[in-house]
Amino acid sequence: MESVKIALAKGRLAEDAVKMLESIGIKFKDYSPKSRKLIFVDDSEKIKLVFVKSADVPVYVEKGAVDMGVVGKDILMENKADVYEILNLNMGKCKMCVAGFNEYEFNTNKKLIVGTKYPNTAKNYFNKKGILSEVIKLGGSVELAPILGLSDVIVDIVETGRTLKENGLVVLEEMYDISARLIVNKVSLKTKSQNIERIIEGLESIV
Amino acid sequence: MVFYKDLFPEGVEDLHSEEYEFKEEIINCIKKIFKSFGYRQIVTPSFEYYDLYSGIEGTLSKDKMFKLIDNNGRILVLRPDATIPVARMAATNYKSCKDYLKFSYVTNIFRLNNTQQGDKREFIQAGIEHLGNDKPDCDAEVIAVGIKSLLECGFQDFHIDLGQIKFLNSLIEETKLNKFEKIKLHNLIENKNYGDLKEFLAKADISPRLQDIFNKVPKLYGKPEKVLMKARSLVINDEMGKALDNLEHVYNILKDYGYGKYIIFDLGFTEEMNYYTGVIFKGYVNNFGEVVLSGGRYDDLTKQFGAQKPACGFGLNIDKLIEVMSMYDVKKEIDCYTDYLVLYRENAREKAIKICQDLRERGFIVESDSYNGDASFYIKNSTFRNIKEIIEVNGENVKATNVLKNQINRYNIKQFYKVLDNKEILVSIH
Repeated sequence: MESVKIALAKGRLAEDAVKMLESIGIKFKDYSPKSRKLIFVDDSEKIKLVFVKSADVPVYVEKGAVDMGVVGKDILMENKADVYEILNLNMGKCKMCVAGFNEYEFNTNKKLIVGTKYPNTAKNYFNKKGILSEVIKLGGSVELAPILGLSDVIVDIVETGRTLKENGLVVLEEMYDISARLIVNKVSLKTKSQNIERIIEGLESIV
Repeated sequence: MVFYKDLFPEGVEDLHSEEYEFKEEIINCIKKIFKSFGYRQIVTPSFEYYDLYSGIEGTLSKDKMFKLIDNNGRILVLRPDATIPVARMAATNYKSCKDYLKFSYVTNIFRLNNTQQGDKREFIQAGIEHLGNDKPDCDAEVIAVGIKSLLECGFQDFHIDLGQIKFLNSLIEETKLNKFEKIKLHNLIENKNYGDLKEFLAKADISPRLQDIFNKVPKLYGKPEKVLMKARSLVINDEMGKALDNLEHVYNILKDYGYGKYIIFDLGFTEEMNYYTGVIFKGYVNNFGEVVLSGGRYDDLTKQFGAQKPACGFGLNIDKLIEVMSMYDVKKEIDCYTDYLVLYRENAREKAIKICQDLRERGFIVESDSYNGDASFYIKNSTFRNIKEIIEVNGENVKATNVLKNQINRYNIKQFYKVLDNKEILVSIH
């Protein structure tokens, strides 16, 4: 039997995902969050875990380099991938928000300047709302953009809101609910259906 | 000064002689199959008016087309799809023809795929279009040609996903959703997004009975008999029942071809090109995550050009196919070679050229060059061009150096021909 490869994004999401897999009986005994290894094989040697950067998970799955993956909805919205988005794992929950200074008011006469790590998502959102916008793509520490006058508002994911608060920003609008999704390659679902369906059904029963 | 390093756009590639020869061989093999089923090859222009594509419902996204400007300011498009031009051609040139039209093509397709994702922006597609025939036998034949093509290319481990677009469409028509909600629902089912589908249905104004059916549709894939049985229990209108009957009919014909084992049903999938109206299918090679073959029935496409011809067809992505072949090592080693390199001094030129011509007439690949009497440079470099034998012509004498066997023979011209003709009888080289 061929092995099923699962891609996880390094970080907290991965730890939760490994815990979920363990609770349905798929155990990785040499896994520990601190390990620098990028590939793990489960005890029955039928399932392989690989760790990649979160934005790359859909790419690996779409191209069939791995069979399934766990990734946040934010990544899937930003870069559309041709995959089955089979389960909402209901973990890693947060919200995609528009944030800015408390007193900021949307001015419809002027182009809104948005700093974000999610340029496509932000652009689509404002287009749909009919707000003219100019999106500036940033790599991180997005909160700085309005403070330093680079942008009017930011679009980012917000979990507790602490980073925003400590930098003097507030959520102006909630855009989308974000949570981790189980995605599956469109070919693998059919060619390795037995193994994959076992995992899907297992996870479905605990989410 | 131009930096040639920067002159190579993404998504295109040079094809070297061995690779080209291999590709040609694959294409010829597939062409032969098309021909043996009576499909006749045609070519449509590489570019046509943008209006042809943009005016058609259900075509490729406009962002994905390569556009050019004509001198009169009209926009042209490099062929982004093979079916639409063939439908256009059939509808405009054979409008009153009552008989079946069976066309085949091998052509390059241009698409502005996203860069940096490893997608080709120019690729070769080979396919067939069967117009004027609305029988399930036509659908089955088209699929059978596809399966045969994959088999002849040396694949065993592949499957065809077979669906019927009317099943899902007529189910969605039962709801009172608006257009955008319908598209959303369609997408959720197609992406087998069980979680969000459930949520969407719960929020939308849909009866519990329908909700229950929609939740089950994404799971309708797998072995044909099993899927049919499950799907029959979900039928709530005539159209859905008819769609299943049609699908079963096509499947039964495919079984008579002996191809039943390659078929998997999936009632929840759709196509990027949504001009399809009936049976649709996609071909996958196991362990290769991408589609190599896709097609379906498109009864209404020719209507948009003023004709009414039911039709079915498929396209095979040759570049993807070759990619899988190299992955599976089905790829045969192709050797580009030269049988003879004839070297001559000026005084023997006439004789040498005569020898070249005689050799070519016998079917050998022959190159020639003038030299100064020292062949060592040519012998040293013979591996690069893969030359088998070097022949030096000097007056009436011929010196033949077999590079592979490291053997030197000396003849006069008469003897040379004699040996050659004997060799031909003993071992036919080609």
